[in-house]
Amino acid sequence: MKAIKLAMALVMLFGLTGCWSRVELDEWAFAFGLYLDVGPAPGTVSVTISTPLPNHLTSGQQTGSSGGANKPYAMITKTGRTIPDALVMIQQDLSRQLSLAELKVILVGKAYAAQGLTDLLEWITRDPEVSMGAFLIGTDNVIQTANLTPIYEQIPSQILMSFASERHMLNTSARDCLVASSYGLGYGLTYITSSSVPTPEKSADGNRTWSGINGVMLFNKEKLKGTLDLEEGRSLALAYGKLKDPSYTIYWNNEKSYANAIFTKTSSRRTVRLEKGRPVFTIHLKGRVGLTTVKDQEGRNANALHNLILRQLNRQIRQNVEQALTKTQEAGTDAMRLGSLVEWNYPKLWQKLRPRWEEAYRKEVDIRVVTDYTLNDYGKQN
Amino acid sequence: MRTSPWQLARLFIVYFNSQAAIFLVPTLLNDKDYQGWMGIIAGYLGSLALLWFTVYVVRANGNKPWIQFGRKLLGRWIHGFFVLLVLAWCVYYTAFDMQTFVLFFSSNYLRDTPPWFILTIIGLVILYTVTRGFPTLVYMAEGLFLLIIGTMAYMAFLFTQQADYQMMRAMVTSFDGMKLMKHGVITLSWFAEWILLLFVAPDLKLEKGTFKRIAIAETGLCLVVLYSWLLILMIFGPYLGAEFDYPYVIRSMNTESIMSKTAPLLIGVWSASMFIHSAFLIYCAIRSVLHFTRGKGERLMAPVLIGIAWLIAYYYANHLAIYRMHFYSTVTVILWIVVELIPVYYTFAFWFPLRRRKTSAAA
Repeated sequence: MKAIKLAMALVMLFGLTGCWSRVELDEWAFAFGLYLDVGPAPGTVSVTISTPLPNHLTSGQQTGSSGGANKPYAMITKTGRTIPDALVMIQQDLSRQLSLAELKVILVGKAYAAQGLTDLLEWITRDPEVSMGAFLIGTDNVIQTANLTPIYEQIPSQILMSFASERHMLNTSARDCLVASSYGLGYGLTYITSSSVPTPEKSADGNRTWSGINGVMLFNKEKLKGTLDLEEGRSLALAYGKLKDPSYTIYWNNEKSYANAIFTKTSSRRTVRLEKGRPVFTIHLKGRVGLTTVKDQEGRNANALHNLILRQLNRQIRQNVEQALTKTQEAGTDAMRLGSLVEWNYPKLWQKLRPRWEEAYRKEVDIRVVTDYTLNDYGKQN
Repeated sequence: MRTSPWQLARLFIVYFNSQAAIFLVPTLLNDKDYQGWMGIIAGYLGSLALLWFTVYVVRANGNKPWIQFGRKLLGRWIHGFFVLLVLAWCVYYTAFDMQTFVLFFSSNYLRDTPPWFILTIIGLVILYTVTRGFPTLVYMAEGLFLLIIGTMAYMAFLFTQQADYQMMRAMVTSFDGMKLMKHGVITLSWFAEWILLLFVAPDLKLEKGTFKRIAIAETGLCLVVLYSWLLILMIFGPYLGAEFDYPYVIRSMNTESIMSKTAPLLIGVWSASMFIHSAFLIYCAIRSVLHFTRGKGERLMAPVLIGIAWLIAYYYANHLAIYRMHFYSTVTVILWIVVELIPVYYTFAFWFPLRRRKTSAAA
């Protein structure tokens, strides 16, 4: 009887630890980045995966310095009618088992975004291996952005992920897109553009690909509806409360005087109320600000300067955010998910508005911005 | 066995946590609205009433096992029918448990492993747990209880980070009486499996403070379910939230967040509670079947009953659409409530003992 019990315990141990489907760590190829663009033939999608190469990741190696065959990452591209089709084709050419469980960033090209992200979001919703926490980022050129020079990091996908996780602009995840779509609302993705910049060191042609944040892509009903430039994108991110440590330079005296303000804390809140049966939204922005540079040609005293800077700062931020939100209205994209506030507060009105929210958001909605920033750090000088 | 006043309360928290706190939430979100919380509270109040009936009928009959005293109250045939119903319900419920395991593990961690193998392993684990006896179940639940409390506190941390609190306004701005009733009945069907209390004697006694203690545990469970419901609602919204089975939600966190790294721990705790759940059900099924065999063949019963559950689960594993249809169907809810009302039938039979009156009249 003891032998039977022991045998049973062993069988359970083997079974429950997943020995049946085991794949050793060195048999996996973990994709950290997934890059999507339209394929060469109509109706196809070009899928590129970026996987780290552990045998090329040596300790002490200077980050971003490896090039050519010694790159610490591999990129494989295939084209298929659907994303899973292309992934199957990638798998066919791999000696290792492809895993998407560690997928951290999904980059979508502008042309693919214009066609719509419906297939991508459906795939993310369905495939249990793909995390809904993966960040989504847009780009004008997938190949160049995917091959950006990873200064400070070893793999380009780490840079892309940092753009989102460090909240340099929006940190939209697949879940955010899915939630917004489920309400019938829009969303924004950080927009990265690439360019060739000259570099003095180790240059064959003297240039390197440089990719950087250049605005926000606006999506509604999973389709690209427009873009915001860098300043507008930052304002939208600030309004969303997603921007980390933003800084603003404010000018007065015909730009002869200026101050640079860095935000030590920011928060945002959205409210809605009805005015003559129409929803009026208010974005409340609040925060604490410190100064890093002040140049006042008129030499005001501290109190006058304090009031002036605060007044200018609040006005400038208010104007910038209003301008960004007006742009989203022009694009018919409720990237702040303001429509959800109508559903939560006025469900009956939302039932009427929801089918034509894009139009209503464009023409009937009034958005106001209220700012309340306080200055509590003058820097080293008093 | 060593007993303590709160043992039953802890056992039932572990028992209900495996199912109610996990699978009730997607069912409540199916209507894509914000008023599930009212249904949870309505179901909770209903379950307290059923708990009172259960404790009352057991204590009124001298803390004897229901299998023994039930026959005196309702007669051989009607009691036999109810015992058979409970037996079928326990086995069927265990099959649901086993299929839930297959569904989750085969789509995540054991993708290449065939369902029959996962089912066999689960079956063996349940078999082993059941053969250790009721006291082992209770002791295991004690340990798991602490883990559950720990993981719940951890989930609260996640909740505060990602939730959209402005959504809470929607919980009071929309109301639909029919939906409240529907959610209340569904919640009741998940919350009120007190029928299992009829099987804990003679190992555990339902004493004077038992109702109060289990009611407190039930209140805790109600809060846990409310909290789980809020968690899904505020992170995913009612429309997207309705599309996922709960364990997948754990895997949907930001890949950089610490929560995503602890998914195996949370899933491990859930799995262990499920084993307790299934083992308890099979234990009750064995007690029921022994009623018909007059106590014979006890050693054979566990493998046979788990084998039947294995077959049902295997069928479901290969017919997923049917499984989902049955799991979330109204008929299943009604069947569950019919079973859960059994203590009420017996309480009424105890209060209005027609048979004994006839006997005394004849005398």
